[in-house]
Amino acid sequence: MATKQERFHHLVNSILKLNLNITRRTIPYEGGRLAVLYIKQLTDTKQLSENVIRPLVSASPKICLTAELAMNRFLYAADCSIKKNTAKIVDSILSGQTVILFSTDTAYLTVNLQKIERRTIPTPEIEFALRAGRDSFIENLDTNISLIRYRIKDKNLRIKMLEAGKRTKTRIAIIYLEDVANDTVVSELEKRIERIDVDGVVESGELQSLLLNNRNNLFPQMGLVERSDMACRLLLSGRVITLVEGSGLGLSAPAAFIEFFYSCDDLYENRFFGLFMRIIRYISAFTTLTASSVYVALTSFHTDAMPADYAILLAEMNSRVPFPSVVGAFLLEFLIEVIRESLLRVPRHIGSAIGIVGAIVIGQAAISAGLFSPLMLIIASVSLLTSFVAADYTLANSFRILKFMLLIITGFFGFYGFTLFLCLILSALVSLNSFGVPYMAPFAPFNLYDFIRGFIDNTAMSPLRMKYLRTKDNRRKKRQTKSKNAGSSWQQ
Amino acid sequence: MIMVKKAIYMVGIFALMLSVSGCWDANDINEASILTTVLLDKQDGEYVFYVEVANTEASGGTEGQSTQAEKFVIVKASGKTLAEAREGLNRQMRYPIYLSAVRALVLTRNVVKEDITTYLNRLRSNNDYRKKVILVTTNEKPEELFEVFKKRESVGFYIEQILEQLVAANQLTRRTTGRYIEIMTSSYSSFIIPNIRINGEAFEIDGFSVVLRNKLVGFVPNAEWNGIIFLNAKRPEINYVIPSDEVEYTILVTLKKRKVEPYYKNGQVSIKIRFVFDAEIEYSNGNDSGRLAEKDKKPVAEKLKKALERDIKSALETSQKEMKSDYFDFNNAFYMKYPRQYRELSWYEAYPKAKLEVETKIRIDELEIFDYGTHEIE
Repeated sequence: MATKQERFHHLVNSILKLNLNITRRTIPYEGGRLAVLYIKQLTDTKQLSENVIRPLVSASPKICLTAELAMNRFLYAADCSIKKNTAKIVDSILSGQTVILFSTDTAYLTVNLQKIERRTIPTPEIEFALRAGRDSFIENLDTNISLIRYRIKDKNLRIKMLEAGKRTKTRIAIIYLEDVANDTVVSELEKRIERIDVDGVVESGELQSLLLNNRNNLFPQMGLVERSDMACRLLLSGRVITLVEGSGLGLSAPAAFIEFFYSCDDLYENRFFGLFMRIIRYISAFTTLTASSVYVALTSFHTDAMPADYAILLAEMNSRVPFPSVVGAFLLEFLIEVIRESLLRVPRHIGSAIGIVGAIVIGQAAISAGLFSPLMLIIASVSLLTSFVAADYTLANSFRILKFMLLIITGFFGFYGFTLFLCLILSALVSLNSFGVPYMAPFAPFNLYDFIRGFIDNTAMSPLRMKYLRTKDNRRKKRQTKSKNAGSSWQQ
Repeated sequence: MIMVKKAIYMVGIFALMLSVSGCWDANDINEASILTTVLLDKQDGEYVFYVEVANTEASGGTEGQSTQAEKFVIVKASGKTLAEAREGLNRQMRYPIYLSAVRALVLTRNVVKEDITTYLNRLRSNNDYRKKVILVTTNEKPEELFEVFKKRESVGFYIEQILEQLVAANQLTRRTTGRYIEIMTSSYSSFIIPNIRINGEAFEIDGFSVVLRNKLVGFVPNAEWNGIIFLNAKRPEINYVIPSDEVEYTILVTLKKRKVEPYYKNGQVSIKIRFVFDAEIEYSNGNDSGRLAEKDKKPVAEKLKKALERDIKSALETSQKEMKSDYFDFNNAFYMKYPRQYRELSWYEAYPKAKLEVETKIRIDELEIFDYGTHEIE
């Protein structure tokens, strides 16, 4: 039977043999020795030296150390614990913990001295707002949680930590307000995360696709959250936020179609301005989807729907274009998508050059060369601009794909195909749900109160939460009872 | 099973799309012969179509459009029948004919003199035309008519704009081709069509062609314009200049109310037309411009009333005695009140014999109301 010493040596050697770039520091003590195992790149070595190694070395050599004794008497680390399961030693080291093994004790210590290089809190890049906090999430999960915690000081704020990815062991935090969020959504989300069986999850987008109930679905079913203030607003409204270690974007669930048109500004600005901007966004989304197709339908099929003088002007403009309208529209939309994609992929200082080339090539040269009609160019540009108006770009992405499909169908069947395809999109939308919440709520199923609160009014001012979210606590602010003696203080 | 059902539905929908006729008729607007004016004439017993076609390719596309370039081309085609003439047009066109941009249909008096039923029926059956397209007549030579703007501007657009601005100014009743077709198909068919003539380098309406039983029966000159529009426009506004002693008052007269009351007694049709006018002193050549002197109030009102009645009666007399044609649609009012009697009698015969009475009320500046009772036309 192996002695404790032999077992200790075997264990340390077996860990080091794994070639995981683990550093070992051995310290002798009375009747044995201890091994401090850590990964240099993930550990704050200064703290390790000062708060762990120094007190252990300076301890009386006559003391026979155990894990419990070391933790209670010598270590100055704030976050440390005693563990016995040796199978998890490697995992602990890989997650950035420092592990201390004792030759005279079967238990071992894990000390959290993680030091991960991180960015400072950046300003938002995809969820820009004029009148909102500037702090947004970064790739560090703890920092992101702290950003939420410092805004919501409620004892009912729950943070459930889960893990996904066999190799990455990515930490995932499910954050919600216990007395507000719908339990079904929380448990469903938890269940789906636990069900994930992949080698790794490195970004929230990856998690999002793994959480979808139908992977062939084109429309996003979880909202993206970059701003911590927006995350808090969503939590207060009864939604569940999912943060992924290593991702600067959180996910919110459930997400209805209408919510993709909300911006932080809507909540912080005047209610009428918020409504005005939402209407602009809806019109823009519809324009993104339909502008080119309407142009094709009007110029190729239903020309009599145009005013006569404009029909002549359009015929003049198109007289030099060699393609039918549908081909011209398709080519131009394709070209614009190419420019958009190239601008995203190249360094910024080259991007502006590509933008200029794109503008000149498409804007001027293509028209002079008679490749496209000027009106088509205007329509495609408007379609591009309107695609940027949606508060959540993931929805705009769906519309970009649908735009091409709609264009092709309209090119074949005119307004008949156009209408039919829009009906198909609508029927697809109404048949969707996001974690049990109808995707088109409050339009379908129609709920007047939610419609007024969610579409017309400012949700920040509403005393009630959205009904379709089926929150535990529907009321945001207490009902104000009118005192019989209201104003009596003035009379007294 | 659900997926199979879905697939069947999808295939069904697409099959339906493919099978629905008219879905494959894509034709770009630049590959169409866009007609803006259609003129129909009759020469030597043959129908002749003159069409003004937008010359979209000669305008240079997007750049370098010259203001001197001919923007329209006139194409002429003739045939013994309308269909034959139209075939002649088709044979000359580079692209399929596009009729939705036609702004004006011009019929020469030669055509209207005969029978326009065939042509109106043709328009009725042709869905390519907008039924809102306007219809005018002319006595001008077609070639000269299309040369007024040297083919740089559309004749059809110009005519339409003249009529539109007159309608907007309450100087004319809007009558589209669709309305003419409606009247033509009703039991009593009579209407007036604005007649245009060349005036220098422009066009003007010089009167109305009167159509009865779908044939031209006469021409009403501009002199009767006031009476005509008081009888059939919605809210006409006309300026009258009324002299009183040494002062001439320019008065804007607005029709506030017109009520047509038909009566039928002992086989005699009589129609009482009540008018209420608002009159507003616009200005005068007197020192106190815009104000009606106390002493002038009664004489001015009397003279204005006489002028109005003269115009209305003149229009009625022309309609009833000269043209024997009820183009003021009194028949509708009679039919509404006496449907059975209307079916029994012939309005073509009854109208010329009908008693027409005119009653007018004028309110000047809303200060006083003058009522001069009922007057009967001899």
